Amino acid sequence: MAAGIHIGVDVGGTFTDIAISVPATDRMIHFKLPSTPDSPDRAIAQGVALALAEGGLEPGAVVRFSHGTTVGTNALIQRRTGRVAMVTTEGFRDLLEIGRQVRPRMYDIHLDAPEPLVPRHLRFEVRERRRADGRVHQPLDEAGVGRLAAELERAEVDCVVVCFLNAYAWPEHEVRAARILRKALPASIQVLVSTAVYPEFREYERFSTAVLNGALLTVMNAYLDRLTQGIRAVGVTAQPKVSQSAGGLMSVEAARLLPIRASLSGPAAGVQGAAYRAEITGHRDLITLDVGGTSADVSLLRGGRPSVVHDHEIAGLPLRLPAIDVVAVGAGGGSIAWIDTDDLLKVGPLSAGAVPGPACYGLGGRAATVTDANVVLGRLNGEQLLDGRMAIRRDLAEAAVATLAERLGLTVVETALGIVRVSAATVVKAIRRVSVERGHDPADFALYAFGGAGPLFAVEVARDLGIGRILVPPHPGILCAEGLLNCDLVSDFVRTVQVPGQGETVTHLNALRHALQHEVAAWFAAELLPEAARAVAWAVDMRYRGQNFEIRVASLDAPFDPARCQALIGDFHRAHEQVYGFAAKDQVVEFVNLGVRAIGRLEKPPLPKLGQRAPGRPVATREVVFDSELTLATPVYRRDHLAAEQAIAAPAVIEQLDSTTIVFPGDRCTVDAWGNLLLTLAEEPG
Amino acid sequence: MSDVALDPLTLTVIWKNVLSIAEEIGITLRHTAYSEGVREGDDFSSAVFDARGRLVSQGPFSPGHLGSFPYVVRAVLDDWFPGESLRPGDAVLLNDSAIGTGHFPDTMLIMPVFLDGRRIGFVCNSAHQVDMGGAAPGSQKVQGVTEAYQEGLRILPIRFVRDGKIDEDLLRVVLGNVRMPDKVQGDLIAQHSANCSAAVRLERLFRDYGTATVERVYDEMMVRSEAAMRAALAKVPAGTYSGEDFLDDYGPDTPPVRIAIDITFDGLGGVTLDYSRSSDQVPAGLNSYLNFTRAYAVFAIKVFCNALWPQNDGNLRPIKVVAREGSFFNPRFPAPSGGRAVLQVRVFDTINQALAGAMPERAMGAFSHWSNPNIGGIDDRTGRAFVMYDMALAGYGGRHDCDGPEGLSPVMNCSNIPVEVLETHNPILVRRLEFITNSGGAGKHRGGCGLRKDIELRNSTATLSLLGDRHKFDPRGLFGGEPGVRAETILNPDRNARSLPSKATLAMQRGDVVSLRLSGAGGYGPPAAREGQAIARDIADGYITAEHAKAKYGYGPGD
Repeated sequence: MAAGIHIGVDVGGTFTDIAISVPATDRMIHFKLPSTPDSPDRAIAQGVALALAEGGLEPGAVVRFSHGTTVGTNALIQRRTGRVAMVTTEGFRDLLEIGRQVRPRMYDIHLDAPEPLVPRHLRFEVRERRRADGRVHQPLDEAGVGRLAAELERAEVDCVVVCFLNAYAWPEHEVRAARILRKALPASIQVLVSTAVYPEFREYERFSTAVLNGALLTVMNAYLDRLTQGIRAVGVTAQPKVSQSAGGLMSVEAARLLPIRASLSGPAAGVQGAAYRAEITGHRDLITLDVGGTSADVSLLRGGRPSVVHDHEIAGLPLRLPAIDVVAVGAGGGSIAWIDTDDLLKVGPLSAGAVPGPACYGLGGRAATVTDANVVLGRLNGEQLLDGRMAIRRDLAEAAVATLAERLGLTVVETALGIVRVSAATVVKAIRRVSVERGHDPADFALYAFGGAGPLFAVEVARDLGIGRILVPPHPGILCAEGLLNCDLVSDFVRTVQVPGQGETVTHLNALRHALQHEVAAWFAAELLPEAARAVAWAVDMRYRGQNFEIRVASLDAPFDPARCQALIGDFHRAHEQVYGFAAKDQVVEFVNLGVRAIGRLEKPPLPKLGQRAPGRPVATREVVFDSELTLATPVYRRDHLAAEQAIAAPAVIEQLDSTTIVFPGDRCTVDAWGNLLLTLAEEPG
Repeated sequence: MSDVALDPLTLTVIWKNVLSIAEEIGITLRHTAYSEGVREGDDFSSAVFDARGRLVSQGPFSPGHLGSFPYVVRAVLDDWFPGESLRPGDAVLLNDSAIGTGHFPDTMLIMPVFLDGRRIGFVCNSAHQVDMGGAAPGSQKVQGVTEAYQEGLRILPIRFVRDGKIDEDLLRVVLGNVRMPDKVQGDLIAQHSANCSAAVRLERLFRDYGTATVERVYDEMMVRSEAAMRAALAKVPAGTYSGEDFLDDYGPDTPPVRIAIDITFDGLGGVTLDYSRSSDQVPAGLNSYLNFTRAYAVFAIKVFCNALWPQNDGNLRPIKVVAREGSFFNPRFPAPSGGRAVLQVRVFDTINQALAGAMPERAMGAFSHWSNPNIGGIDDRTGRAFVMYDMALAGYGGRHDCDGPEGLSPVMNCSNIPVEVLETHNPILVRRLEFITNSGGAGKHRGGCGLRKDIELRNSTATLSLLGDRHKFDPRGLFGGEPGVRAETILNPDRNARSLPSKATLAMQRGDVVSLRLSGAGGYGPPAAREGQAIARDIADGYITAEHAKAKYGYGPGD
């Protein structure tokens, strides 16, 4: 088993990245090929076959195949999903269209909220009603449900979603209605209930989440069919695993039922890759910074764990499910610098993309981008990138920046510094959102920089936030694929605690805990996980009675009793104080949701260490602008020449195939045993 | 003006920073507040001011509060806490209608910020409290309220926080006068802590860049914002544009209230909105104090002129708002004003009507009028007070290039409150929440549908304060578009149905159902110009019936 090959595949809009771990020979293979957006499985199968062949590896030896997909996300953005009908409580068929009613932009009364995924003629009502306390106000009209079946069949829908009011705590009516419909409808029409997707309080968000899931069922199933066949055709027999928004993997079977769980998984793999690598080097408090061509994704990890949030939006529609708290902003290497109507320099969110790309690519792009600014400053190689596979035109970068400089009345170099500074400010704001706004001081964290452009942004961003340490992994551009090699199988379960009377809280929590334990046990069994690999993590969402936003507090895997509830309340006060600066100890604390994460621990391939070699020496020297008063002749190193424990004297430029790292004057840079760079920033920049 | 040299990049970075400080105040408030209006409805606001009390930045929240903010700090400094009388650790609380946002439920908390003993500015926020005492739960009663003294506790600016701590004695005074002291206390603490974290950031900004640089940036921000606003206003052809509309009344059996607005663009970048021809102030909780009048004037001008720069002292300078003293839009104290929130949609409609000819592509048919009722009493189950604060919102009018959307928040852009939240916290049951078929005004581009919300009381008794409109005057269409269907409010629609006035206050008994039926929105362009396909789609989706299609559009099967 240990000798088996593990494959991680991350599918991006431009490239499909593949990481292959071969524990037997302590090897890690990285492979990159252009994506095939119309059918992403093609590039995956082709890439896997090529990568295995290049490494001289047998497809049959692959024991795990993990991958992240944006198929669902793209389908929703393009609205190319399955056809969904909704069955809901009488009097509420318009609830999905009414939503929460906020227009997207305060001062633009001509920009409307997106249309609901289910049009009005596919929203049906049945007579039923539970009250908030669970009492049946109106029994379920079972005959009425039965009569709907014919209409639903005529409507030629792919999926029916049953959404009833107050079902978050009292799902019986939903379940019964679904059972009747399943019996009456052909098997080709799937039936699901809102509470099976995410059984939380607040009807619109719950209905919306369930409908989004319903819309993706056919899309995801068709994709997984093609993928499974595709990799089997090249000889890989391992069942694919799919990356989830909340971190971790799910089985193909789970992804077929709950495709929505993969919809925000794009950035999650990178965060987990960072967590895994950093932990080995002893860094558990991290802010991750993943910068590509178009956007920067940031997140925060404490004690090695990413924070998970529940409120999201996808294609303008609300979504409630746990997902790693990643804030994305429009700042990347390709972000275009421009002068706004207020005569101020702005950078992004528009990106030059891969084509035409930055001006310096010489592919016809004229707009100055962050990459062009870095070429002007000498921070990026002014002759070639990608190990010589791409020629760089420094003259075109300068011309593009000069156009802006003229309008601003600044020099070309000042303008280039400005572009870098303004785009860094955008990233800083994103980091503030995941740190300061959640009660964390960024100075207590290390910055983990990856993605092609992450290491270039890192120093300026870190300094602005008072961060003293920066980590750069060996292959910054491929960390997401690598991250997929190190994930566990995970599933999240949640139940809303129905407004507890003080004394009954404990009984109530234990009843819910019992119900959740059953769900968890069923999941472990379905995933065929051995006893030793099973783990659970419990948590309670709490708030002061009357508040509307909960804070998640970790809980032990043991029955609730009054003393434990008191301890949880104490933990909640402390958490509230940390996030918002105060605790209201005289107020009643409510238990809102009880959640459990079931974890099936999968074996992780070891991370290869750098072999023995002589310390790398500079291969060239070039002029690098560090700030408006400091330009230095700076040695350039090749990343793959660097040896373990080597210290690199500042200033320096470290180049590699997929990224460039800058060591500023006064800072320190060392290489660890695994090949990570560790930058320590000087207290006061020179 | 200081003479520190300023580069455009420092300007950008500091400007972004003060905008994000203001936004952060609001986000903290939303996450820690207790009242439904704040936590679910985003009915709050936040701002940063400079040391002299000039508005520097605001969070992107409720425009009614946004428009009232610009003058509040200067009023507090000039009239109540002059010179150096505010010290580090102090904060000032107020809810006075004239100084604040125009009615008592909105409490404002203003905190001066100091660096090395010198005042560098203020951080400030306001929140709509669930109750401030007075004649009816929610403190928004219209009918029978003839003086502000009946509307609850009035707080002129007081030093509510000292040495960073809320004054326990003053807090007790406030809590002793409100129906839901727990929620009010929670919101006041949330308001204070939101300011505290923002103050730390503002201090740090000044420390990092130096007071002279930041103040230089403030000046520059305001100069540029003012110039941009003038440029946007100068595009409107010079002239006076007038609009007129009427509110149903100011309570049962009272005459309509005239809203008349004369808007004069000078062609050089200035605009004056004059409300003087409107009715006199009324003896009911509905009057619009000048701050509130100004708020929605500014909002409408920004929307129409597409002047979307972040708001500060600079871009407000070119907009002048005038209203005759003693009129409905500039009443004298103690004119009552608790229910003034109902006005915002109508004020916008009137300005929209005035400017439609000059800017047909920015105009739309009249909005569906919203409803903002309160149901309150003592919950039989707990023996404690409850106030169900609700917001029913419906469609937009048709526009030059498309139909009005269904069920989107008009003007103030508040969010509704989920049914499951309402039912968990109050002894009520929501029986229906749905669009009203055939209610949108016909037109080339149809107005959005009205909305019906039926609420049943499941408690022995309660007091209902209705706050709606458009029962008597049509939500007009534009350029040949037809009006939407008028609103109705019905008690017990399924038994002994009784029609209610739009602003009545009445007692409810167990099992009573109040059915709010909001007006439809106005159409745009003649119905004859509507495409057959669009009519067919409306029929299929049930927004209109086949009979309605025949009557309004002459559309029949086979067309």
